[in-house]
Amino acid sequence: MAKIFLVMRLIVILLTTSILQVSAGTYAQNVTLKQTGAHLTSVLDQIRKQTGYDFFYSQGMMERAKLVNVDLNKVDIEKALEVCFTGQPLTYTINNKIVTVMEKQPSFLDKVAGYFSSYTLHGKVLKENGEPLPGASVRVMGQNKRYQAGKEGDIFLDDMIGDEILVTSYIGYKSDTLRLHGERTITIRMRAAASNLTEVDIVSTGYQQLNKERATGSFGIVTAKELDQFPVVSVLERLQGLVPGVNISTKTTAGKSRNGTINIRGISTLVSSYTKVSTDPLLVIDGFPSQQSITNGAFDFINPDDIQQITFLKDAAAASIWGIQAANGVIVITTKKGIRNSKPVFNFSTTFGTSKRPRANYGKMMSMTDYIAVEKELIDKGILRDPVLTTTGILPENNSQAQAIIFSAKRGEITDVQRDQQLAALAKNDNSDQVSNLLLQPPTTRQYNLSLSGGGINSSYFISGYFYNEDRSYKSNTNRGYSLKASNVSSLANGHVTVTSDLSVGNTRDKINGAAVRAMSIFSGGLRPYDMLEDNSGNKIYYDVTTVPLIARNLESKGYLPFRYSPIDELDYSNTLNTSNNINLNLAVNGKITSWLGVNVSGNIGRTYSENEIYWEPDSYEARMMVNKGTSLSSTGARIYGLPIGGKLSLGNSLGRTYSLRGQVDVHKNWENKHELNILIGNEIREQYTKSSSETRYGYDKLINSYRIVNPTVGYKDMYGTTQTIGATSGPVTEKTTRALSYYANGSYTFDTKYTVSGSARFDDYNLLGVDRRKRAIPLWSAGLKWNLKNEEFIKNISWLNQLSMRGTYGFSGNAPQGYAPVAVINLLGNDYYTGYPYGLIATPAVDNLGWEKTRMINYGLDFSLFNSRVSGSVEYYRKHSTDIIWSMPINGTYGYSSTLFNTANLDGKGVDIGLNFIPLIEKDFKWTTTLNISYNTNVVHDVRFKTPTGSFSPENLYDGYPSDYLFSYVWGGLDATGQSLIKDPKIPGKTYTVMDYPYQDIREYSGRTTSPWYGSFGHTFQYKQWELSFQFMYALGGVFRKPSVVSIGFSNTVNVGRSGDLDERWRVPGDEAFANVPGLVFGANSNYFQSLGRYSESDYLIRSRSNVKLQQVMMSYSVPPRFLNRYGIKTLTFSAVARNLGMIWAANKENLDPDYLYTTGNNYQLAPVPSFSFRTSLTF
Amino acid sequence: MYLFTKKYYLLLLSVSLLSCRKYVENVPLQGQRVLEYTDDYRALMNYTDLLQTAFGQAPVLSSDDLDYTADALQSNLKTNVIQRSMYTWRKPFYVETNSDYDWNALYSGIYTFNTVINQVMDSKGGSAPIKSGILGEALVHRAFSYFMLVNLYGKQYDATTADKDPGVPLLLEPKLFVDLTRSPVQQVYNKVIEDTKKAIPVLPLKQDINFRPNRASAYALLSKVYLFMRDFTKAAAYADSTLALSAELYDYNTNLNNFPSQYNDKQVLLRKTSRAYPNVMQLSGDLLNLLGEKDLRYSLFVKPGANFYPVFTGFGYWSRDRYSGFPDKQAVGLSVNETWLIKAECLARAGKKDEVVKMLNDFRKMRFKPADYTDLAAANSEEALQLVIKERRLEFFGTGLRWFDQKRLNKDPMYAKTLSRVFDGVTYTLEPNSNGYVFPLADILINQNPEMVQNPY
Repeated sequence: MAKIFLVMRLIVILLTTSILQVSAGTYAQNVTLKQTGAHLTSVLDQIRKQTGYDFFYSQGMMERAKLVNVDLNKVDIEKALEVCFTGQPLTYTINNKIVTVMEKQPSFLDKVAGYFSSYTLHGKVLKENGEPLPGASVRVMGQNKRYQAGKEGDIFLDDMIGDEILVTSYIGYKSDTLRLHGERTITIRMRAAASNLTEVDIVSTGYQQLNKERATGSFGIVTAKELDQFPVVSVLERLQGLVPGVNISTKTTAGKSRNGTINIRGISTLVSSYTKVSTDPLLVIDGFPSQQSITNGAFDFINPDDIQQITFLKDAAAASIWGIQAANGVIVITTKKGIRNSKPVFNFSTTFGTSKRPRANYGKMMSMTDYIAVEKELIDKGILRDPVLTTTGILPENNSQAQAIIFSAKRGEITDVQRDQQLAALAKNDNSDQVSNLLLQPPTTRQYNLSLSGGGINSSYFISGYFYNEDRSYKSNTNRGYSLKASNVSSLANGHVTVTSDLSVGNTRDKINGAAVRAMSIFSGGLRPYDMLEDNSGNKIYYDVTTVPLIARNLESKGYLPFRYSPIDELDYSNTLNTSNNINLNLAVNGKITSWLGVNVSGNIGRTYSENEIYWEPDSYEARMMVNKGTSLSSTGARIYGLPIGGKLSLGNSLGRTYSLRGQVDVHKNWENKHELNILIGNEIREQYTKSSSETRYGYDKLINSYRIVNPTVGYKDMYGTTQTIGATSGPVTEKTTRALSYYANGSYTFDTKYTVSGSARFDDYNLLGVDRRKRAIPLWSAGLKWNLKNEEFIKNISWLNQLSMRGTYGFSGNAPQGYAPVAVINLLGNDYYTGYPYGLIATPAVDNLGWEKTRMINYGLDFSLFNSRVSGSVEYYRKHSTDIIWSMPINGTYGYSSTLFNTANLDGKGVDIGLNFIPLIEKDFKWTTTLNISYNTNVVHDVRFKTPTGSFSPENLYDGYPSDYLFSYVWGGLDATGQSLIKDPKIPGKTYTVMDYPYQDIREYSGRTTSPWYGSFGHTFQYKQWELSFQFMYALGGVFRKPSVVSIGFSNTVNVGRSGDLDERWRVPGDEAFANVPGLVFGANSNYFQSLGRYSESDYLIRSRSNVKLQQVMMSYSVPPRFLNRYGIKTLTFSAVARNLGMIWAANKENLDPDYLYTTGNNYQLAPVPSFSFRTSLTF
Repeated sequence: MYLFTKKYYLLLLSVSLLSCRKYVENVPLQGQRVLEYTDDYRALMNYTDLLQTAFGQAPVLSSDDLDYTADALQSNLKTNVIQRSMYTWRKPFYVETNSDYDWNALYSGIYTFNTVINQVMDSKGGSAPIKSGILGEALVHRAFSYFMLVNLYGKQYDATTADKDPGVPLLLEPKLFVDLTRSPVQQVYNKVIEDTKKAIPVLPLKQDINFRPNRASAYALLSKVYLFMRDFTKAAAYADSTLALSAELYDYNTNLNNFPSQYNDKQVLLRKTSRAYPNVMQLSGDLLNLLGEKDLRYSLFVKPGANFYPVFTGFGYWSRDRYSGFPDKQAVGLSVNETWLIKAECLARAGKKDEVVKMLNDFRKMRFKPADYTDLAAANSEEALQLVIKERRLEFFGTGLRWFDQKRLNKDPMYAKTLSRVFDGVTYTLEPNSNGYVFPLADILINQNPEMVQNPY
């Protein structure tokens, strides 16, 4: 800690001195100054110091100022200024010791002169909404001159003839071309860049802002405008398909719309349960890593409207600045800041999302009659037994309505004719409508954002508030949240010091109710397809689950709580509430020591607090069954409660805190416009701490906040006569601290705007238990080259070629062997469930053979822009070679562990990212743009120790020469005469195995990869005046999946028979094997149903191709023209509507299944993907 | 800007860059850490899952307690190659990459015990008696584990050949990748005895939970070890030492159907249990005949096949955990009842038949309802010995302990008999003292470390 304080003290000293520095000096009447090739800014600064006059000017206009040569000796200020402003495109006024610098207006004479030959064109560059766009650049095609728009968007182009083509460009806006037809004045409107990535000039690595022209690495950039292109609620959904090489999946459970996963360029390490590596890219928000990872819901806390830009760092050179955290790539988010010298601007936007009502019938389902027939067959074959006849002491779980009818016929209580009548009546029920109407709902999301931004002379602010409210597909499942953000940029000491602060507070409240999911499952409490929820008159129907009605009523008569169960009732009960709070404060101080040297000290403090609460209300089915099961009867018939009557409350808490502190020196030096040098050197410390605990309370009643103390270790008798103990009521308190100390450096040198070399190095040191520094920390580095061909003399004049550059990088990165040490490491696990004593285990034995995982990555890129930017894009090719990947390998169990970690596997990955933009048509009011993104990624594992497949195919096994996402299948041989599966030996022709054969040798064949190697998107945007229409198609080519079919049929009353329609095609009688492929329900001697079904469901008979093309989304927007708005004080008003998940246009599999939304068979009900719609209104005033 | 100021900045920055490495090396204590404190070792020695493993399902499947005559059960067994091999005394059990989790579980415990034994005395924060107490516990647990291993995978101890018969690798330090040559049976036994004796003086007389060995359990272990070595004098002496400290037997009449949890059962001196049991255990006719229907152990632990899944014709073993809840499996470690019967056996072998009969009658009064109880009698010490052996069989059926008796009693000519069972139409036999009594090592162990020799098939 002492070190941190030392560092902080030094920072304070450093800053104070720099502030003092700039205000020092004495005032004199006259100016004495000798400077050559100086910036006007620094010259004016000297004059200010010597005279005490104040200067007002904008940074932008100073950038256009010419370098100044002065030699003044005791001259007065008027004279001094005259010398300085000679030949400048600027002029000035002096008023009361204040000098105001302005843009020079062309004189009348200038204008007249130009009229006769060449003339000066006066242009005005405006944004879409009519606001001026200062700083926009305009170039005359075929000339080298660049003009920049002034603060009111004015621009003056000299020596014009009248038939030139103008090329306009600006950061964040689309480049455009315009042919002159002799106009003397023109208005140029620039449109914000949408899916035109190559136009973006600045990339952020989180540590620095780079000019893209000089960046050697591979970056993918998405701007706020592009995020607005498809304004749906989830940021991840908006990002889908925008960046080549970035694969985003938003498939989530229970309709939670914000979550998902991001994968950048495949994998560079292999994930297993042992090696504790994550596949999440590092998420960096405003320079510091996010407290939550992407898969843990980081995007829940981010207001999509706060995002200014997202940069994906894809290759080693781009990401190496982040060291070992960057193993899976880095995603850098920069948030919006206010603009200095601007009036307050309010922005309000609201998004409403909804979709069709979900239907509970995805996949092929059995008919009611067939379902009952399966139940009957299982009973006839002795697989399901009559619970009423059970003789053991265990109270039997209740059976289904159909089974009860069949058993009662078997017991002779009804005749076979009555049985068939009752079954036929039952088969008329179908609860899928009721499930859809009573347990499901169309998911909706409402999202509101309000922000305020603006700035004064020396500071700017951005404040935003965001709130969302989401109702999911399953009833009683909601998610709510808000986030607040305030950021401020202040410039002190005449721009020498900039202080940036960012405070953000976020909250999410997630309510999960399991009633619908449970009712739709095949497990205890799951509805059979004929189990209605309500009768014809709308009354709820109650079921018995825990035990058969006879016993249940008997127990209720003895004082047990009611056993009845209705999923509709449970919608109100037993909710899980996950509440999360997130606070983040960033503070950065930038000091400019000279024009080329700066220091930056920044810090971050974060806190997260989350609570998980599961409350079973005393009336909930869960609580009633818990109490009932814990109750026994004494010999006199008195109830003995093993568990107190009432509800149950489980609480889990976790706390996280993190801080970072960073000191950095930046060098930006430019000599003679020939040499440009950028260097940054820094170090940082970072600590992350987490703590969590949990507890359970019994007999809880929230209405009065009361609970009962229980003895966790004393046994009690349960309903079934078995002795039980409550067990530990409080979970262990776990704490974890990780610390890192890093040194980093990054530099680039550009010669003559043509050649750039760059290099980056980082040294990370972590706290790894018991490992010495030599093994703990290694330096990681990268290097890159870039050649801007367009700036070469021999290419410069090719008019159709607007841009051409080539770049290449090579980098070395690694992963530390986290969690393994040369000494045994203990895991303390809290109190033992039975003994109550604290216990622990040796989490990892002493391992002293482990080293780093190393990844070498090479990247080649080509960026181009042709025919006035009508065609532009980039093509990249990369290879990744990971060695010494840590993997668990078997060792002799005699050592006490049957496996340990070794540096073993090698992984070779490669891929191509292609992003292309076309403008097929451009007219005055109409523009058609097209984007095509193509990504390819594949990998192969190499290590001779990973033998060719033998027995088990869990993801924990790797095979030499196969990709990490392999799929192996049995070669299907059909069914034998007994209706059981046959598999073929792929090597011995004609050899087949029955279910009674257990071949040990490798008999499965490689079917393909489970991810598509080719994927991407194809989009069109049409703009007509204020209207915009976009389509986005997503495609995936290659890869395989297994069609879900029959997996299990349910062998007891606690597991229902699933409704998979394939079961209907099963083998029934000998002879069926001629056409049937689904194994029959065959039990008894010489049969093995599990084996039979297992081989069928893992056979190549069910292999399908993943290839498909989907119409992902369609968007339409309309911006109200400013002339209708101005009178209301409104600057912009935009309406947009998006439709998503519009279905597959083409699929290679014949069943037309969506491989991203495969249902699980064996379940009773599955939710089909439904189209969703969102509507957005955005208003600026 | 003055030049010296720039230098001053640079100096300050370079100082700030020299943050020291202690920042990443001195991190606050947390849940996962390097073993350091005595409490850490105490926590390891509270890990009941690790402490309680005695053996797996091989002993009970191989023993004559079971006889799967029912078709449903035979059919079940056919689908499980490992159980099938155990049941028919055929080798190998574990082929290809299949692991022998029984072996692995015992050695996994030994790694932890070795860690404790080698390091606990140097740990921080505990008093010397506490440290040596933990050391004593680890010594007894390790001794018990090796005693199990050598009897499962080695030949029955025979004083004449024990120094040559391969036992098991004797690992005494927590190290990966050392030589795994099997130590001779004699050497393993020596180490078991040495460790247990070393533990006795530091062990307390009483422990709060029976996962922790106390002094009586150490004596009981020695008594059992010497019994297996056929040193009946020493076995009797240590049985006496045990019973002098702890002699409480559980009376099945006290509260039928409501057993005390085996965590609290006074009879249990050191709780160990089997890692796994077969789902259904059909009891052999031979055993059922010996048991008779009056014995409380019959009414409690035997149920008709209709109560099981799959349903079968015959009688199955209704294990103790069916009364006391799932994890409370029958204790097969060290117990007062077993030590009681060891003492009786030693007395019988010493020719003291009356004392044997008295001990047995005292014992059996707690195994019958008073109305059903009749005294036993023995004409000579040989008959007395037979009564003891029979009582052992009735007391421990279904638990796997019988297998060790079968193996051990082969050394007594009157018990050495050939067993046979029919499976899938084939008759399998097991000759006394044959290789079938020595379980095979998993193939993968031999493949990984060829210095280990396989047991003869």
